[in-house]
Amino acid sequence: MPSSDDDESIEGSERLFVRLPADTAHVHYDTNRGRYRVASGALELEPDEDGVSVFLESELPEGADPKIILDGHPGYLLGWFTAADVRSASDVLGLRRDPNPADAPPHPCSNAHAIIVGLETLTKNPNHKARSNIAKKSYLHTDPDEPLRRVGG
Amino acid sequence: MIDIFDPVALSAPLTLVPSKTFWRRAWLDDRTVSPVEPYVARIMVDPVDKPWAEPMFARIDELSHLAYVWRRPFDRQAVLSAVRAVDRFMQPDTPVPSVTLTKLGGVQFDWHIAGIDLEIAVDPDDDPTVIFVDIATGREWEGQLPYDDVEVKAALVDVTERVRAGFAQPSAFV
Repeated sequence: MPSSDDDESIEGSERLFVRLPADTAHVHYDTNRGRYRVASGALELEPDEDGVSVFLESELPEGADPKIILDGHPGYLLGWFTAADVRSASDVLGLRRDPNPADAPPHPCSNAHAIIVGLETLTKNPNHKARSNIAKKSYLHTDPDEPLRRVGG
Repeated sequence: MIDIFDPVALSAPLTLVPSKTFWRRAWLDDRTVSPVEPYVARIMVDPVDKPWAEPMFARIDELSHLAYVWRRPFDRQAVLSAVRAVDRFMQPDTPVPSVTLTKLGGVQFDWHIAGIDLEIAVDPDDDPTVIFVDIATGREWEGQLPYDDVEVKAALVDVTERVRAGFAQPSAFV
């Protein structure tokens, strides 16, 4: 059962894009799944955040490549997973539309902004587990310029 | 030089040296959660006993510089805790973990290889949390260090032995 705060109008197949700052700091290569992906630590909540920021693909400017989300954010990478991935990661997780957030400068994709809610209700281990579940389903839309070492990850 | 694995050495005053040094580096001086100059302490790592150490520290080195350039938090104490945690259990031929930053300034060591998903994450002022999933058998558990030392050691033995045995990767894992 998803969070009571979950916006069910966001379909499970909806792709959710997430900005990943600091170059490759939050991504790694997953040998089990054969691809680069988002690391679960990238989905932690910072103290001043209500939820993990994502962008709804269906609300992006018509015809735009999702890379437009990184306009004004040089050096960021772009990851994605689906709304269903979030809801299946933990019973308490859901999605809430959050267009044009007041604390963010205007951006062509502001209208597509949403947040993952519910992580703040989870204690340490369930929180890590939920983020890990989402991250394992994730992909990178923009590959790192230089391949990360294909090591244990 | 400081041996990162020597608790006596770690308690001694540290000499900071510029980051562009031949020696492997770590960040063992005053802890901080704010971006810092990438000044570092020298350490010694035995490349024979711990062949995973060189690439692991190279990645940690890279992350510290990324954190500095991007003004992201980088908690050296959390990094040190993470290194200590995995050093206790890794065997010489344990695969090198992937290392990433957490958003809160900690660090995370991951093994997603040979059908095992193992994550050890350390955030500032917190004990390491551990997530383990054996994809083939479906066995999974969550834990914390140091309380789940035995399970973490067994998980890393599993990873090491499967890689040593040339574990074949079923396509269903993708």
